[in-house]
Amino acid sequence: MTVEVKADRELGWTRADTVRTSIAVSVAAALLGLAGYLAATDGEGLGGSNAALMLLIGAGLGILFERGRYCFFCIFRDLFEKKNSRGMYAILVSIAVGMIGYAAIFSTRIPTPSADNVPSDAHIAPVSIALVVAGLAFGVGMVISGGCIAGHLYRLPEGHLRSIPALGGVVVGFGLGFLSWDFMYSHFILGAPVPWLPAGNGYALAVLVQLGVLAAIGVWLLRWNPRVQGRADRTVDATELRRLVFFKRWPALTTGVAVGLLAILAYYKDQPLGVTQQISSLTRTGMTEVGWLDQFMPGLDERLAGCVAVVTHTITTNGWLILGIVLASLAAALPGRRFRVEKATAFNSSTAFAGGILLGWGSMIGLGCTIGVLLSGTHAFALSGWVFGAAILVASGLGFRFGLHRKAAPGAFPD
Amino acid sequence: MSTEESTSPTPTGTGPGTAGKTAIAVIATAALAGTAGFVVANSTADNDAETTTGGSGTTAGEAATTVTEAEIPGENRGFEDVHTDEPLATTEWLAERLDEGDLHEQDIVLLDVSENLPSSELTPYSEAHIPQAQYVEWSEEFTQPNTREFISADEFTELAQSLGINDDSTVVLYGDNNNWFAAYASWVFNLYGVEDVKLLDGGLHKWELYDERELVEDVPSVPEGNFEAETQNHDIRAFQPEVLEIAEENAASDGESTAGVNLVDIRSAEEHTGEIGVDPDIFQGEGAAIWGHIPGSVNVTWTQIVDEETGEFLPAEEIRAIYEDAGVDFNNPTIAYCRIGERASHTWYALSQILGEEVKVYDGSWSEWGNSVGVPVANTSGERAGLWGQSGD
Repeated sequence: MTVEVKADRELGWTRADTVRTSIAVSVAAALLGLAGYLAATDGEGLGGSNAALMLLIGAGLGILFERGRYCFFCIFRDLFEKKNSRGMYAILVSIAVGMIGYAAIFSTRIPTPSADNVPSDAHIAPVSIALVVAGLAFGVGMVISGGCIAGHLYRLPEGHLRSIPALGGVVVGFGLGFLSWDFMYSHFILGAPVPWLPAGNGYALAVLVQLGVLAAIGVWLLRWNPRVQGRADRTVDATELRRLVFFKRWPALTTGVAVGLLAILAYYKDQPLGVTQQISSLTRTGMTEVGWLDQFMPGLDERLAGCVAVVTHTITTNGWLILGIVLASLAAALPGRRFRVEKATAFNSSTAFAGGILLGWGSMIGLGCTIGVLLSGTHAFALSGWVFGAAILVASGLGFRFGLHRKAAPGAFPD
Repeated sequence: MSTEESTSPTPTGTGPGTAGKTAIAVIATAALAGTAGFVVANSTADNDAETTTGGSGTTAGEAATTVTEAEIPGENRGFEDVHTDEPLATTEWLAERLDEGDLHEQDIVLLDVSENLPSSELTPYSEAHIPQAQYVEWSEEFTQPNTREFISADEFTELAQSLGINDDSTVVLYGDNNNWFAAYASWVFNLYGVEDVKLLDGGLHKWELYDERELVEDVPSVPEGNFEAETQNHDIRAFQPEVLEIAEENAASDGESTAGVNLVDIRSAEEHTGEIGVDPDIFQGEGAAIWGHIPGSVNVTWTQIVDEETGEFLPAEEIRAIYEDAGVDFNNPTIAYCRIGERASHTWYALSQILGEEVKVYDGSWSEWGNSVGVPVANTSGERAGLWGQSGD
């Protein structure tokens, strides 16, 4: 965005803006009303007392994803295709901020971290070949389908219609993941180490090492940081404010800090961020009821941490989080005229569906997606977060290099 | 892993005079990679091999463990050396052995282990005792000073040898108060691997009052024995973490015994329900802050399994029926407890030695449980009792 800054065009106000803004305000009002209702009823039967909070955290994420373009697909595409690493800093900063908050929360709950008292509610997962394979599948699926799972959730309200078959594919992928779970678990995951960096090292060393790694990556990425063009002198008036809030991409550092803070809040009050638990749980419940799955899944129902699917018949706080993302990103996209229907064809829909299957399978076997494993995992000082992230990066790097995203959706990406 | 990968391609020269910068970058990257490697390696290493015995069943990270991890040496040797073919010696049998002469020549060691309460109507050892009996003080000689734990195996070897116990000796124990402390001693002897331990059925009460047999003042001197103690057999001793797991499972089932282990509470019915606590004037040091029982335990007092007149144990099948009626499932192992472990040993003797079942004594008993922070307690008296209750004590 910042690469080709021209003179700011006049924004004006059209009849369409009125319509869009009215819809956005209605959606926002509905969202707040829903949160108010959940708060007043204490989420009774609808996810519990944290339901309202998680809906609002989801809303915050939706706004940040949309306005800050905190989208792993877009950021990696910029990096590998346009040689623009700027979005990466949002990810790095969100990890740095979140992990410091996690360290503070951990330190009050587990004063002396050891391999015996790994916090079971944080997303600290076994590191095995299955995790690498899952990350690679996820990375390829992301490139082909045009987004990661969280990305599809927020890009759908922007009019990215391919997200519909992609999310359908995700559900199918979850199903395939469940069916292959026994094999993957007993062959690869069972007995794999669960490295938690503070164990035996203390929080300070874990924070320093991760900060060091993030800083090193940040320094290294500077080489792909294109020139920033200046903008003309301007006064911050209502129009400028409107432009900054709704039209211009929010700065990477601001977005990253805010995502990190929301991640801390979510973990402190409820559970780590993740967007797949509710979807995979519903998939699993459906499959169990049809009789395709056993009621009990070894490993999955025992000790594994992550966006683990449980059999559920109700909406969980994770469902509210997802709903918050979808509604808020819609409300955030509309006033900036960012709602644009992208054409869906039979071909690009089927590739999105296929990519979605890979996303779903990868996040089932990997116990989460870019948010649940990569972000919440690195926040929790889990090596699994880093390994999953590296696998996604490698797979998507190759995918973009070979132009899989263009082949999957011809014409969707400007040269 | 990933961290090194992403950082290892150090910046290469991008302009003039970058050699220094490159060197710094290489060193910084190497240091970071080294530290990261160390941290990762350290994070999964099981450097502390001690297992957590908290057994609290709660989620790690959200709970603190209150049960301390004191280390008590021991092993699980099973019950082969514990169970005895003839666990009881009758007074007639002992009288015959005494008629034959020196007990140590028959490889028998006779020991008096008594409580010596002032209220007892039986003659204390110091005044008179069964001929050739030696005295063992249950508290001072069995336990470490100022620590609630038994003497070490080496110290037990020393004690046993001084009493003339050999590897193949038959140790016959008796005492006042229905053999409570004699049974306790028999459990301790078994704990350290003495194989042939018998109780004199009916104890001093049967000998002195019912049979009206002879007591003497002579204290025998015996040649030193050669018995070598083994480390404690923890198959007959239960510790709090183990009991806690059972108690929590039972507590989760509303106090039903669902954990697959019988808990037998030997104390009085009122102590079991939690209606009363321990009278501190009589039983100094046995008091508890909390009244009640371990969830899922059944209450069978020791008096129910002895003959009132002779003080002898009831026939084995009657004993079995009494416990089965109380709800003990002998398909499962059993843990017995009381206040400090001595009456529980009496019950242990009945269930383990007479019936041949797999039984442990939880010697910490209520004086540990009822003073512990956070452990589940069932109180069926309908009132809030104990130190924080309405008891008024």
